[in-house]
Amino acid sequence: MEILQEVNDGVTQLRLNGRLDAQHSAKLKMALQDESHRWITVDLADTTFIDSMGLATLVSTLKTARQRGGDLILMRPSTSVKTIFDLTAMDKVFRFAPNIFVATQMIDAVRHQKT
Amino acid sequence: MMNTLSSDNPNELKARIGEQQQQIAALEHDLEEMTASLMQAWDQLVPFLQENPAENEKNTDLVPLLETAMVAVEAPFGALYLAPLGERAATWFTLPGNVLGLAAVSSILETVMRDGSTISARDVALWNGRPSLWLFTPIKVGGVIVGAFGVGQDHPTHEFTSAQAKIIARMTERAAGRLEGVALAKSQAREQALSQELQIAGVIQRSIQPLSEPAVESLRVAADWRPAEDVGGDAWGWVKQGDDKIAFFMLDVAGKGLPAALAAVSLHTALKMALHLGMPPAKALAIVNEEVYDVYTAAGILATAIAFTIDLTDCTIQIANAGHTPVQIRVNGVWHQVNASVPPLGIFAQIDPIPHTTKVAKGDLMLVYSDGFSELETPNGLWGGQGIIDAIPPTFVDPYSVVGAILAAAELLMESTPLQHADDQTILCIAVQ
Repeated sequence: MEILQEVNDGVTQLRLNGRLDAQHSAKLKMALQDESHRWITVDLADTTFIDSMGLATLVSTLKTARQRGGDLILMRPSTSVKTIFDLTAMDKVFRFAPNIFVATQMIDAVRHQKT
Repeated sequence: MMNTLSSDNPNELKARIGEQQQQIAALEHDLEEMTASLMQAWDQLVPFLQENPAENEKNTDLVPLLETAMVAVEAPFGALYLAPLGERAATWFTLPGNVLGLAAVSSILETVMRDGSTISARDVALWNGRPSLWLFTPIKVGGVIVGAFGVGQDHPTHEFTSAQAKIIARMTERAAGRLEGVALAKSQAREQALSQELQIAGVIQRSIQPLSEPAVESLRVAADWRPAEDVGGDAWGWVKQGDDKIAFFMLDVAGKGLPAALAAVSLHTALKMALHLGMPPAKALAIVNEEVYDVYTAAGILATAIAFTIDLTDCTIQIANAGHTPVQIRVNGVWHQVNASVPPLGIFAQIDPIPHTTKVAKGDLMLVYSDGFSELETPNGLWGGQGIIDAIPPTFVDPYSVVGAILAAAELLMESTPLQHADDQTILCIAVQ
């Protein structure tokens, strides 16, 4: 799995290319270890597969972001990946956005609420 | 003794230069041989110096090597610096002890570590303030600079000769070799410990699986549990709720190794206990989730779980599913799917699973499985619930035949599709008769 990462206006934007599974989950954890990653968007457009360990890592990342006072928004999961979220009821855990503009707006809304 | 070059005849001068160059080459050759002999002697001597020769590769004590280097180059002082690595703090020692403070050479060591070059430093203040001359050489292990080896003279006006520098370089290589040996021994010990842990995890995981399916007159139950090579967190179980009800459960802790196996054991125990106390499936999952939430949050893990009861008097099934793969129920030959109503355990502090109730009759089937089956890869994507159902011939009513057909199809998939991700596979099939 390849992780593309950039930070814009305090929002860490990740794009996960490939499989987010037991083998590659640690890579995602490492990428977000730094305390500065509070507001996070994860683009799943090119994520081909997520297994239970991948889901656990996303949940852990969400919890950590919220503990840091931030939030995490998922974006553009493929149909097969979205099915995994739906079947496991994980669609109730995460918030999804269709693109980075909407994701940023969702994050801004939470930021304003907190300030 | 070296002759001086005082002739005015250019040819004679040239010839004498040539002679002296040959002498230097011969001396260097002799030095190489002496160094090699010294190394051989060292290798023979080391086992006798150590109390337990069998533990040589674990001995990190480089003091004898430093002493040998000092003797070889006639240097009264020696020093060894090892950079911090992981949890190990930086190491600094000198011979004689504390003759030179680390602060006095920190900038020199920084350069040696950064550039990987040998550095000769003058006017280095010893503990008593007197100036000294030092030669530091980087210790490289596997191409990485891990420290520096140094010798010191108390004649700051002298220089270390190239021959002495060569000896130090060879000794430094030896030190690196010993450190590499120690690192290898540690790595092997870690691998061995990990392998033992995985074996223990496997034993623990096996110990919680039921030894047999329940023997109930109106039901036939077939189950199969196959752990992945590297141990996951699948488990299943059943428990009677009085005379008229039987409860089943299946769980899958996300993760592998000892942590997943331990989490599976505690979750298995908690679920079994809750169901044994007669709790309905949804309440059992909710209560257990409350118990594990804090630990799972701290450890960054989650677990899918499904619990269901079958009322033996009227064949009513009540299912609660927390993030687990869907349950497939074949009623009158038509398959129905029951999805998770809440996310896996350990995500929310409180969950309220919506129980799904259905009635089954003779000839109906119920199929519960872990994602080790549904997430098998096929050329057209994941196998999924539909793939699993398609593997069952419509005429099959015997649960053992159903499980056998699914296992055979899964094995075929694993053989035909390279790079399948190995995961635990658990399947439970219940037929009403």
